[in-house]
Amino acid sequence: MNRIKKLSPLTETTFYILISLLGPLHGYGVMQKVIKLSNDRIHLGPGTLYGALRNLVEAGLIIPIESKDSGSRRKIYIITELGKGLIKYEIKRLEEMAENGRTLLSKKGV
Amino acid sequence: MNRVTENMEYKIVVKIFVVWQEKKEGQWLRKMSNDGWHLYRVGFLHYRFKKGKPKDMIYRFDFKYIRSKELNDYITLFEDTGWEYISRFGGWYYFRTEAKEGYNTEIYTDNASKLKKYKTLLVFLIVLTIPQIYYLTIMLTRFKNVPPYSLPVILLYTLILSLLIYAIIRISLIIRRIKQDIRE
Repeated sequence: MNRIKKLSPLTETTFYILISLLGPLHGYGVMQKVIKLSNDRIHLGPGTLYGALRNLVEAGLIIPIESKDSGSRRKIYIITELGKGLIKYEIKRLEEMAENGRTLLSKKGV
Repeated sequence: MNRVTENMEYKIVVKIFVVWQEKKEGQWLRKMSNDGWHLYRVGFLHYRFKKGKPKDMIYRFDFKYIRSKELNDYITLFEDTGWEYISRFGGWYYFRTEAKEGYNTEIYTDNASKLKKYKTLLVFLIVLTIPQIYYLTIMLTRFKNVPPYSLPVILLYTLILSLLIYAIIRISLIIRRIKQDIRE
């Protein structure tokens, strides 16, 4: 739990990359999934994506998996248990934020 | 400085851009592509171009340390997303993509990753500068038995050192601006 707390809060970019890796994907797949999930709002540049994937691997939140197709040049990634734990923690945190904001706004009648 | 060696298909242009002139360098390369000269290699103080059809190409530069076994992953990711890898020079990687309406033309799309690029560059510049300060100090103080240096050598070193320190200041300012953007 402490490890998860240290990794939070995630940037928007990192959060989206992490949730797209609940299933195995290569870098380009992640990019397309994030565009879809964010309703065309977040277009990741390759420099940003490459750095983010590397950071996530170093933090133990995702791991590269062996490609079945040995001829493929592309590395495929998948989320780890730690990564899943972090997503759950972030969802709780974001919900708390949204809830507090909503409650206080409605009290003020906005 | 602009020396050009030219034949029908290829040309070499001798030109200097310094680290804080990324934008200028990109604009120049874009103009070259629009004139049908497409960059294919970058070297020390020169650029090599190949003649082709004029095309509006956007050039972007990344600064990175990449282990050779990771280089393939890195380049593949760029190529998958419509970027062409051109050349590398030191820690700089040169990419280009065709300018198209509605398509992303940045390789860094958030401030956190942009910040990391410039921090890496700053560390590199500092590491490069420290020994120069050391040598210059030795020359100026004629430390122990070091022979007295002639004025031109000292002036050259001072020039190089000033350039490096100026580069450090410029990159630090870029870093500060990105940090301000993050806080806002």
